[in-house]
Amino acid sequence: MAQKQTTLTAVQGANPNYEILKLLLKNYLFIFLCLLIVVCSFLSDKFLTFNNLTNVLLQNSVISILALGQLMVVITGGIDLSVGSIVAVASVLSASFLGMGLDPILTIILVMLLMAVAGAGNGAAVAYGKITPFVVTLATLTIYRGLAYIFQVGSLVTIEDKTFLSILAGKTVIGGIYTPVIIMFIALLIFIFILRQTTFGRRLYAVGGNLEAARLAGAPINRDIIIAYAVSGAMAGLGGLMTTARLSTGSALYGQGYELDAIAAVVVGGASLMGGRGFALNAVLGAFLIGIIRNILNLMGVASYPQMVIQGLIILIAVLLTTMGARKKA
Amino acid sequence: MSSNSSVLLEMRGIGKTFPGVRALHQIDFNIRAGEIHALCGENGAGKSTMMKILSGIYTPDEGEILFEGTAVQINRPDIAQRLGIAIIHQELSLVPELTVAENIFLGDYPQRLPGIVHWKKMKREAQNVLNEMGFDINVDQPAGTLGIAKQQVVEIAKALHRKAKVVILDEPTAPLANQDVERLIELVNKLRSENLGIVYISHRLPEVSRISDRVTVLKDGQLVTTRDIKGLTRDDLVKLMVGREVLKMRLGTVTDYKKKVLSVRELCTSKLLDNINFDLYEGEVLGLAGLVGSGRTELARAIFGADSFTGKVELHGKPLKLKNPRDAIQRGIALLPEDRKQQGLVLGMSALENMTIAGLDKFSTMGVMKKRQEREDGNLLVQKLQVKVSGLSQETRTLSGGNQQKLIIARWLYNKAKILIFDEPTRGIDVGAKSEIYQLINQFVKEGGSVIVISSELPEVLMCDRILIMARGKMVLEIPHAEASEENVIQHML
Repeated sequence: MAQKQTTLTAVQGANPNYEILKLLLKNYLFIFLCLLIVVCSFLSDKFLTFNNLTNVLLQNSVISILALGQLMVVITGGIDLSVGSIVAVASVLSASFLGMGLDPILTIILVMLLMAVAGAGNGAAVAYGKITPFVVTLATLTIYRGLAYIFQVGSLVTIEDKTFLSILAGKTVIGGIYTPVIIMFIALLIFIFILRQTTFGRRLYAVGGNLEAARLAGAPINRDIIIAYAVSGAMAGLGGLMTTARLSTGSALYGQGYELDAIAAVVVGGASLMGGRGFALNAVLGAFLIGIIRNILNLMGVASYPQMVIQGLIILIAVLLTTMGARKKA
Repeated sequence: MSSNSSVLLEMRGIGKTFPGVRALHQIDFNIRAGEIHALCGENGAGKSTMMKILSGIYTPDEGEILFEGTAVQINRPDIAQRLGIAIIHQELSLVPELTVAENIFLGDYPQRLPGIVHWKKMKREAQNVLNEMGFDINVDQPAGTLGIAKQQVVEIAKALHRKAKVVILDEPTAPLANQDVERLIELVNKLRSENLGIVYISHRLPEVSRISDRVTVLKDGQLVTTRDIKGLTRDDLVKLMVGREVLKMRLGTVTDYKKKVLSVRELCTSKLLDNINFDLYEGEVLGLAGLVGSGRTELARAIFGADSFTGKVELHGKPLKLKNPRDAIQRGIALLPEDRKQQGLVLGMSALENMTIAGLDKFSTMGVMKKRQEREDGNLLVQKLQVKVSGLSQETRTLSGGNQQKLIIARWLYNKAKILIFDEPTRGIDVGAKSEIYQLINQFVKEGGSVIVISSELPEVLMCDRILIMARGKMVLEIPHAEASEENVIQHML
């Protein structure tokens, strides 16, 4: 029997080549991004300029923020298609709150809270209604967009509140970097912390990895799912506020298709739509990967229709790489 | 059967290894035309792995398979089907919404023109197949509305329609009532007389002795023997299957039956359980025997708060509110589910994360984890339970069944559980790890815990302090260890 036990022991040797491969696969996104930047700098001499780079950061900060919220939902094994519409609701509401003379900081907090509630609605329908996340958020995608149009009474209002604009779309003292970029970095740090260092984050991975096992291990699965969707809603709300400030107008037209960009970023970032896998930093890197490709295509003067084709192909390739990495690991 | 009748299917030197477990080692096996060949062995002996190889679900790592004398590669299920190997699983694979006729013809509907189904012909032929088998089943009925016995018949009809030469029946009688068992045995005998080769996997030894011609016994993935059933007593079979070391174990030996820990009164569920009453004492290992579908698992899930029920559960004399598993866990009740991969573990997470998932508050303040403490606690648990892992961050998926089970035990020990409910504690676990699991159970009750062991393996149930027998959702009998024997337990299970 003793002999049998030794044959049954599953101890994997640490092959150095294997370790290097694992390291490469683990950081493939970062490596890929670096390569891309090198290639881009050759393709266009305008690419590596300060102006262009700050522009890329600014342009992709909203999608990155949406992607972070989306990631949380995706880790639970869900998907949130309603974030684009929530962006619009947040925009319209903030404009009308400010128009009513509400304090700008209070407006920001209130709008984010309301959007968290909107997200929690998605979560409740998923957790208690046992409806597939895709269907739930497909429905609320329409509902929230409709609500945005309803709230937007009359003509567009220009926002003149200085505090609001400078918080959400102002220039900072740090070398002319805009606040959205700072907000994005802070959000990223918070998400890294939540997903890696909190019990809630740990449970999210368990819920997405095996819902029944998580439930039988005593995880409050319904509450966790609802919170994940609420966070996604709040992040979409923040994205909406930032968009509104940047264009200094509230509009129900904002955020069309943002949900797809956010999902693309998350997926390119290596998260599994089946749940249980995904990292905050990678989701943001995913957003920037797509953003940089879009940027270089613009700089090279590629027309927008071919751009769409190329962007789609990039997503496919990235996901292929990720799944290959995952398969190697298994 | 005469030993020179032709060999239909032969396996030579088949081996298969899964991460951490050698599931099959050097297996030789053959099936002759016109015989019923029983395949016996405990759970985890390798029976189903072997049958999955024959049906093209797994490919063997070594060895060869010959079908009617020629070497074949069965690496996809449709190849097995084309060769004429049909497997009828315990979980039937009919499409419940389709009619009986459609199920029989699934995948090759008769056609009038390409793409146009010839419904009349299909119904007629389906009816013919069933009539020949001697069953009267309405072919227009959706398969899902049939009882389990008739569904099985439809599965067999499907195999016959496909001109199967080898039919593998995996525990066919486990879910059946007595009269249905008789009819099934009749049918299987009929198939034999039509010169089919039949592999009959069953735990029910009387049945095996009665109907089969030869028997092959597997143990821990190795071939024990293949021989004629004639002259083989049931005791011989049991000895071949179980061996000695497991039988010697004893679980529990409670000394004091005074401290009642858990008492269940008038527990009912809407589907199955009917007025269940029992008590669990401190330091006791309580065995729960019964056939699949007798309500053992349902009872365990109810006490754990996983499913809703009516009735009363008291813990240390205080009524227990069980709305969800969290309620049970907080009061020290833990379930180690039968299906570890589906219900027990998050396979994509690390060994450490699986151990601590139910006790996150043990190393966190305000929801923020102290990861160093988690690792320290994890290391202690791994040492205490002798879990064989390459590191705490090893992915759970790659661990053997025994080590996976240990992780779940570790999870509940970490959580300071006082009552462990094991549903099939050693299913899919090799002998070495099995006795380690038993030792862990014994240590746990020695330290004042209580354990419920649900098991389909009779020897395992017979090891316990007290044995409760369930049948058809009811508690039938309670037997103390000294009076329990395989015979009187089986008798009441049926």
